[in-house]
Amino acid sequence: MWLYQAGIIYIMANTVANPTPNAPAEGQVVPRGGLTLRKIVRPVFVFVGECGVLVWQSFKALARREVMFSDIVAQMAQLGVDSMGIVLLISIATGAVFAFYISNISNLVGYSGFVGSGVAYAFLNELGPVLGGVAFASRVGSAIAAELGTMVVTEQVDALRAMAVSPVRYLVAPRLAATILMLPVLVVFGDIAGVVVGYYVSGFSGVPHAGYVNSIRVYIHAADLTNGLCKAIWFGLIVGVTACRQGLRTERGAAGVGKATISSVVLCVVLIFISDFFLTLLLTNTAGSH
Amino acid sequence: MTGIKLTDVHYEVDDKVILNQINLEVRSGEILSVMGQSGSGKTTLLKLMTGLVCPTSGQISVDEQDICRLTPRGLDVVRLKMGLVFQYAALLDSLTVYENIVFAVRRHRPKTTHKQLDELVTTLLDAVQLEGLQDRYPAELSGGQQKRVGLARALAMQPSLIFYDEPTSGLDPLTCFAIDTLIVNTRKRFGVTSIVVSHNIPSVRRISDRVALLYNGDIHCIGTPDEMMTSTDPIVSEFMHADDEHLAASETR
Repeated sequence: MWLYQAGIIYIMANTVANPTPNAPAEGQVVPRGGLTLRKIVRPVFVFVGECGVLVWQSFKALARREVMFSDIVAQMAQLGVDSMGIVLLISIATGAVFAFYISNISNLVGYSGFVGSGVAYAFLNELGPVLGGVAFASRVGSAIAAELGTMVVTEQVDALRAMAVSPVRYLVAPRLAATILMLPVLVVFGDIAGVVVGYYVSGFSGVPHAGYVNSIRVYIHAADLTNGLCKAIWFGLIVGVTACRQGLRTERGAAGVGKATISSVVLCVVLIFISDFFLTLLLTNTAGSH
Repeated sequence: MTGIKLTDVHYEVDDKVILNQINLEVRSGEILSVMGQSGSGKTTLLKLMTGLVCPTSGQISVDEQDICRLTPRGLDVVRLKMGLVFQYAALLDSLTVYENIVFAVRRHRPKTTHKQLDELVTTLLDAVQLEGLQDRYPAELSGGQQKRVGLARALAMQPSLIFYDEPTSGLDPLTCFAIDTLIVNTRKRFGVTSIVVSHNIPSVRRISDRVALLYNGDIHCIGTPDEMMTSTDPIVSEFMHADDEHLAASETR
């Protein structure tokens, strides 16, 4: 452990002491170097640090009631309601396919009494939050990054600062609050849609409706829902802060807005999948899920 | 009224000097124009004076308060005395003209009633000659109209110091004249100190009490418009008479 910590401290010290050199002057020959550890680690530290600052300042502003309630409500309506369609569509499609496969295999091995609990367990714990998070990242993350990026390149963010209005309080905090609050709501609707569609599709595949409902009653617990909601809150935070950070970091006009939008979606999706693995380990160990 | 003073302000990015030891004092209530070639650092100077950018070294005092040493909250307090009119207006494009104008007032003076806000918008739109456009969105306005809304927005908090970033660039001569008149009337009506960044010489001559010429990152010369026009300094003379020389050259051809 001490060796690992020493390594991290060495990397951080090296990063601070040797920042990335400036672009070479015209005609200057620069020896080609491969990817060094510093080149990989430094952007990660910068990203984590900047996201951390944005989250801290936003939560502080929210706690001090420095954010206008109307701004949060407007963002919740815009980001949440607009994403409902895509989240429901993805959940319905996945629920149908998932229930179809589970029903087929269950019928084969004679365990059709577990189809309902299988679909519900997968949706509440994993499919609902992850599919919802990915849909939310594509729909909302891209919208936030593009909007803030455009505001940066058209000097609207500077205009806010010139009017003594903090961009964090006006732009970041309401969006962060909206993504954290709305993704769990969308996930609940997605869960319901997936499980209900699974009910009908498994029925077509020969699974008795009563058995489907009964297995959910017996094997699914409140912890499954809360696990999924915990993930949804975390994914909402990831989407909100990553999209805001990428948007506010936009440089160089319209092309920069495009890059910020793409990087926002890619980062959100990658972070959702990586953190999902660790969250699953954490939640199944602590919440006592089956 | 508010004055602003820059002492030994130095600003560089990636070891490239943008502004070099700038010393400048803007007196209360005057209109000072800052001129210079494109890329000479005029807008950077404006951003430094409004605290949007921090200088590498030096001191920028607004009402004898060094804004470089203020906390973000302290800087916000100073910014409430300032209005900034951006080169491309920088209106919040998701808000209407009305909402843009009252934006800062709603946030900094939340007790202002709807009636007071309505009156404020009517007065300001009247001042910038845009009556009846309060429900339009920025995208539905021309460039000149956007700049005038930008001016109305800057005036909404009744600042004592207004910065104009190239207020007449890209506008036709008639709209230029209207904007110039607005700047002069704004000073007359509200008694504000005005700093105008521009390279429109006729406009600068019309509105300015003093003109500063930025050259190679330094304030090369400062004086009244007449002094600048009659200056024998080759750099000042070349810049101030550039239009005449080009006109003469094209007539000869």
